[in-house]
Amino acid sequence: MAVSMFALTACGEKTTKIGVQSGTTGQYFVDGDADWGFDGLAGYESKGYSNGGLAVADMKNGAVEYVIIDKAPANQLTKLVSGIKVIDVELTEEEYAFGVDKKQAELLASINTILATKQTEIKAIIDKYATGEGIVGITTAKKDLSKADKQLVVATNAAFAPFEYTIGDKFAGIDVEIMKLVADTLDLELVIEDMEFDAVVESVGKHGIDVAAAGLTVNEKRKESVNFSTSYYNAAQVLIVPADETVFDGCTTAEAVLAKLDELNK
Amino acid sequence: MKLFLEQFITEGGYKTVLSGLLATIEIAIGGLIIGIILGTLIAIVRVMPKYKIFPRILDGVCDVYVALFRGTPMTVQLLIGYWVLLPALGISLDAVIVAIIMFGLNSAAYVSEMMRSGIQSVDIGQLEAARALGLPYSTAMMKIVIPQAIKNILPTLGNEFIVLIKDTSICSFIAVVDVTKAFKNIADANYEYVVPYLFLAAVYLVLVLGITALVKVMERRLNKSDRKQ
Repeated sequence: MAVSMFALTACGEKTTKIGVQSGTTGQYFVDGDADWGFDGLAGYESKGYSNGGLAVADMKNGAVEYVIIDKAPANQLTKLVSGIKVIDVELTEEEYAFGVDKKQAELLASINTILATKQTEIKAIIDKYATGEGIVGITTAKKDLSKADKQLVVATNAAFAPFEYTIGDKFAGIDVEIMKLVADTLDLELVIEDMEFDAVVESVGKHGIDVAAAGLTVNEKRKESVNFSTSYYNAAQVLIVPADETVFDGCTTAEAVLAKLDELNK
Repeated sequence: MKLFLEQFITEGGYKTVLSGLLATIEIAIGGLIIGIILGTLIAIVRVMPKYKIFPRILDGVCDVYVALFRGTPMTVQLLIGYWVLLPALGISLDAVIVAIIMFGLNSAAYVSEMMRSGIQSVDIGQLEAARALGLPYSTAMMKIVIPQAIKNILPTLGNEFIVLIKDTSICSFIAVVDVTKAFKNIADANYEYVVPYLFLAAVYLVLVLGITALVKVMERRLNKSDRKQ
């Protein structure tokens, strides 16, 4: 038995592992998914982690070859973790939006109005996190189901800097600050429900959760569970490699990176 | 270490850790209490004489209950309970309360089996003597057999409490910030895992050592009346 299994592995196609954050666009990009319109990377398969930091740590351990994750978190990772670098080529084009409870058409309209009329404030928030200066954590309220109409309950996974993360006992990030802006404008108390990313979209509309704000890429599959607001950020997936990896250095287009990945796997 | 201390002390991360610790302890103690009460009831049903039809039906129900809760992982029960079952019924509840109930229901399945073995370890003569003295079955069980059974299974109950304390770390699936989630957040803020996770392990270790000591004290108290000591 052991011998035949060994033979199988030897004959079968080589699959290389790429680290991703579970349930994110990167995972569908690597494995392929009809709903997302991704064919997948031939010869590669994803290995899901609960956040990008762990994926990168495991890349350094040698468990995965590379990591594919959203661009802004990738840049944040390289700032804080040594020995890795981002290949500065956008592999996908995608848009982030907020996922609003399907039963709350009014809230969706309000969020869209705020996204349209407060563009200066939102741009300032995004710029602030790009430079990393002047960031202060936001203190949020605790969920209280008895005053559901006075609270804006936001589902997120606070392990996705610079969009949502924690500073001590406070929350910070682009999504958190935009949601704070929405809550203040609508005169509501901001509540952050911090959970696993896989649960974020499905949680909306349950247990008082009004909206998902977690760097969510707009996608048909997710539209079954939530109504998306207008987009507030153009995002992309990028490749993270060990700092001493030089094979991707000449690549300037997504095609070039994908061709290189294909070649490496032969 | 410097980054950890900054998050933990300067930025107030310890507050999240403390409230997380409270949630962890609340869920474990609440779960254990529900587990012991419900588990004892189930155990009594299972050792009840089954000459009549009603006890037999009850026994069947308990059988299914124990099989269901022991046969599926706690995480799945928690996910189904919080994200599927309650929303389907249109009920919104605080996640900590749901966690206490779900851990209680799960624990009851295990405690019922412990309690059953505890009851069976009490000499049958005890029950017979009580019944011969004219005590009704329920009183004989509650006043004579169960107290002795609890004394017998106290170490295993302590074990169950320890398991519960550690199992609560899955509660972040239903948006409860427990002590694990609190340290995870600190780790994720800097992508620096070594120090926060070591501290997390130390916190659980202290909790479990505390429980172990508590169980020992209780055992000693209960053994005071034993002639063999």
